Amino acid sequence: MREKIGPWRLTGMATPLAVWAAHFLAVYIMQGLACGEGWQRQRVAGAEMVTWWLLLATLLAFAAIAWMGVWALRCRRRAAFEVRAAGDADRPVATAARRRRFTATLTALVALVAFIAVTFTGIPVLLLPPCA
Amino acid sequence: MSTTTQSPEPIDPLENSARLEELHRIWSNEPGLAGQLKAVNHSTVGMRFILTGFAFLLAGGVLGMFIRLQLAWFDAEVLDPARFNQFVTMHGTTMMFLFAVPILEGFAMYLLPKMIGSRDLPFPRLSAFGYWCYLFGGLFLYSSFLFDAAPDGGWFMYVPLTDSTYSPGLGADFWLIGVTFAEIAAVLAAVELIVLVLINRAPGMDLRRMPLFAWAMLVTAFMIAFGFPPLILASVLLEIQRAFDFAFFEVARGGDPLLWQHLFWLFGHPEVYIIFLPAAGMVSMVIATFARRPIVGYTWIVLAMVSVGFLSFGLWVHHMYTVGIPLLALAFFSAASMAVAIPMGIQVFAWIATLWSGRPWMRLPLLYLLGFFLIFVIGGLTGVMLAMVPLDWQVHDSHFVVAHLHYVLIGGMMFPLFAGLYYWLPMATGRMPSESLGRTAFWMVFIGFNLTFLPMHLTGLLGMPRRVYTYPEELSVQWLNLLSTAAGFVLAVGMVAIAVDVFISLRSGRRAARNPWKAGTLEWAVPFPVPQFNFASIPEVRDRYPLWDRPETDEAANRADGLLGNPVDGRRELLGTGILSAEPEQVIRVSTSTWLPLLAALALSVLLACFIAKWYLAAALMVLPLLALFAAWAWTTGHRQAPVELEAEPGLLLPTQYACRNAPGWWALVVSLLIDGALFASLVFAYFYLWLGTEPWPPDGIATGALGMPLVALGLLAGSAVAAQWAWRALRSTDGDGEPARGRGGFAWLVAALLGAGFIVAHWLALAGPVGAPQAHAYASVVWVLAGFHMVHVAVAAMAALFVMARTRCGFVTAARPLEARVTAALWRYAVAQGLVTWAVIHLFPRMG
Repeated sequence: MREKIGPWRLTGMATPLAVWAAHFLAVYIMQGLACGEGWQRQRVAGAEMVTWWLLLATLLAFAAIAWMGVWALRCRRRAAFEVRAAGDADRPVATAARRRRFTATLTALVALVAFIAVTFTGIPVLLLPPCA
Repeated sequence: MSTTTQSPEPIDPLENSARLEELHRIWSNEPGLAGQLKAVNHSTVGMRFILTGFAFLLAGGVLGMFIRLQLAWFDAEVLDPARFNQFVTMHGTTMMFLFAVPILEGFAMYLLPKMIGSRDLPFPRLSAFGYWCYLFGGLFLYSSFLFDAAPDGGWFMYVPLTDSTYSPGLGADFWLIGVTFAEIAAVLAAVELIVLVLINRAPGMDLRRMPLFAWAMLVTAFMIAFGFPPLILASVLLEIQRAFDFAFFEVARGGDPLLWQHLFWLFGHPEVYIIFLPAAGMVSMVIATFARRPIVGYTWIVLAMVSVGFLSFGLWVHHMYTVGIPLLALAFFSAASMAVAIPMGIQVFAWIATLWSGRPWMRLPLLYLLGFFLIFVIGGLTGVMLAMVPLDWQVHDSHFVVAHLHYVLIGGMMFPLFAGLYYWLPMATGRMPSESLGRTAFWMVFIGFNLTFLPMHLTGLLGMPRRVYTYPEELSVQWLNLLSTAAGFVLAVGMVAIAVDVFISLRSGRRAARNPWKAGTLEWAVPFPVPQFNFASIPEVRDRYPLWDRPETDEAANRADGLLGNPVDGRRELLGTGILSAEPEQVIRVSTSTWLPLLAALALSVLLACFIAKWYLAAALMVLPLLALFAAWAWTTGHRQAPVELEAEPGLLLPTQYACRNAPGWWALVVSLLIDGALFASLVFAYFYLWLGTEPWPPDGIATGALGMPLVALGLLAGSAVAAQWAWRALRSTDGDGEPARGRGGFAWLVAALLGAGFIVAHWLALAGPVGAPQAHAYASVVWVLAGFHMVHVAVAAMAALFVMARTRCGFVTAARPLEARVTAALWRYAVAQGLVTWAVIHLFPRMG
């Protein structure tokens, strides 16, 4: 039952990078709309409005990935505790706990890579005007 | 559910022999040529992919040598410009579509079931069909030479060069149809391999014990599922434009040639990693054996593969830096291109650490891996250079790019492939390759490769363009080119030496001991000669390296006293296990040898040949036999008396797939719908991309029309969804006593099908008036294709509904064996959801402006 959702499943493991993909697509589309259709080009607080939208999308992506990462770390801690408690290598309970620790670790690492990748995508938003 | 693989007492040898004999009888291909043509077993099909892939490698290599001869000197006249264009196009196309992807899939089809403890692939007929599509697609492409109509638009077939105005012959048609035909194999293999890895692993092989090659193929198969559809769509759109004068890519009628580039590279860049990841999986398998220790950083390598699988989809525009895209957008892709270097680096460091901490055994496979490290790292570094926009602007379309891509592809794919070839050859043939001839071949390939492609970095930086049959003498690059050409022949001779080595090994090589490299993974537990069923009993796994953990596993694999060891039913059976836990969950019955895959592929070939010949009516008529064959295929899946449960071993009753939630058919549907969803998303992307460049939308002369008829169509679609759901619930509400629930839900399926047909008619009428002919404008073209795409889905769902109705009446589908109805109900839900999006895009979006 514990493995129904979240960092212990394959889908949970892929979620942080799916967030990266959604963010990547979102900023590319918004930037395309701004340059192709003139969407949100008015200046607000020293930058074009579209830049603020891009930054907001980036912050949302950071938040979602961080949340997944923290969740994964908690799951990993719990699984590590269960591994220690289960002890014996051949018992099914121990095997399941080890598997959960593995997938939770993997999810946390995927979240780290996704965080770095969103950072890579986000930095140009701070450095460049949207339609130069 | 727990299990053991061995009986408490050893099996009687006579009984064991009788069971093995029966297993051989059940799993063997039928004798003679007919038996070979009907074969569907994974070892046979996988080996065919591998051999055909090598044949296309030779063909593509010969074309490459002609290209090098032409470029050896600035005024060489080996090929005239037109022939040069054809050879360049076919060289790239062959290597990417007919060699690299199919051969890796062949290795996966051959090896993966053995590696994860399965007897076969979950859909043997599908993989056989995929092979014939691949073969016929490749032959289609090469047959263009016979008609002097070889494609010449480059392996990326940019428009407008390849539209009917600038490429009026049949060359582009051969390419578009041949490649799409061959791609069917890749997409089917993706479905097959995902389901295999998810639910056919040996008991105990949970996620953390999966061989890294299985992880690599799982990620690769998902990448194919999302990466290939954009190219399939682009090819279909361009062929429709060429054949029926639609306007997707024609500027004068509102189209956009850059749409082709986006769709092509949405496929094209992930394709590089689709080629690289399986090879990386091979590296991880081979390196552990020759370092004589478990791989270092297993979790990190899995992380790297998953990360590459995602990040590689954010790189496509780095092939389009020079087309005039705003700097910020270029920066997004430049950033992703650099980010992907992180997981690639993780993998390389994990491999180095494995060698560093192990006791390396310098044999041929390891030699190829060392060559791989050097070449691939150089290719990766020039890749990071090319990810920088300013540098790419300078060297775009120059031979620097040619050098880079060959370093990446030959270094990253072919060297691991040869390592894998030498590594697994003794398992497949039972004979060892010659170490001395193999080493000579390696050095020829290694030196020949580097001397061929290293100079191209320089010729590219000096300004030598790619894809052009000559270059100006003033560039002073002729000597470097001559060196490349001469070294290219050394490389070619090295390749021939590898082929000779393999041939000699087959004929008179030293007989291999069982598990000659002392490897730890399960494929080496398979006895030699490799039986078609791989394992007499499905082995249980307790470690990532089962043969290092329990060396007796190879003995157990030859004893028919464990899981599925007693073939009482005389049918081909696989064990299905849990996705995460790999605990036994089901017994999967798979099909035996049949003509259906070959006949279906032949019918498809005739259909496509008629299309190329512009006999459109004949092509349309060929749909009928094709549908009949697919109907026969579906009808022969399963049987009336299929049990709900089977005894997998004494005391262990498991449901058959017809009654199991994790049935392979279910997961095949899920993966197929993912692929279809990617295709649909690409089409919606095309709609909005065309919208972005067109003002007003719809253009002048095309109306949005009244909403009345579209609403009627929507109502019919919603009604069909309700009826399909009603049919599914009716079946589920019957008692599960195992008796056929005749007629339950049958009428509702009929209603769903009729309402679906009504929707198709109503939506057609809704569009015919206001939108008019699809040739008028890109808007009309894309709207009709979007609507037609969805109509095809409704038609398929309606046919599936009628099929399930008939199957329910005939007792194949019951409340206890609901798989087919479950799959059809889900298909219907998907078709309706797709319809809602299509309806909103076509009828609501234009009214929002």
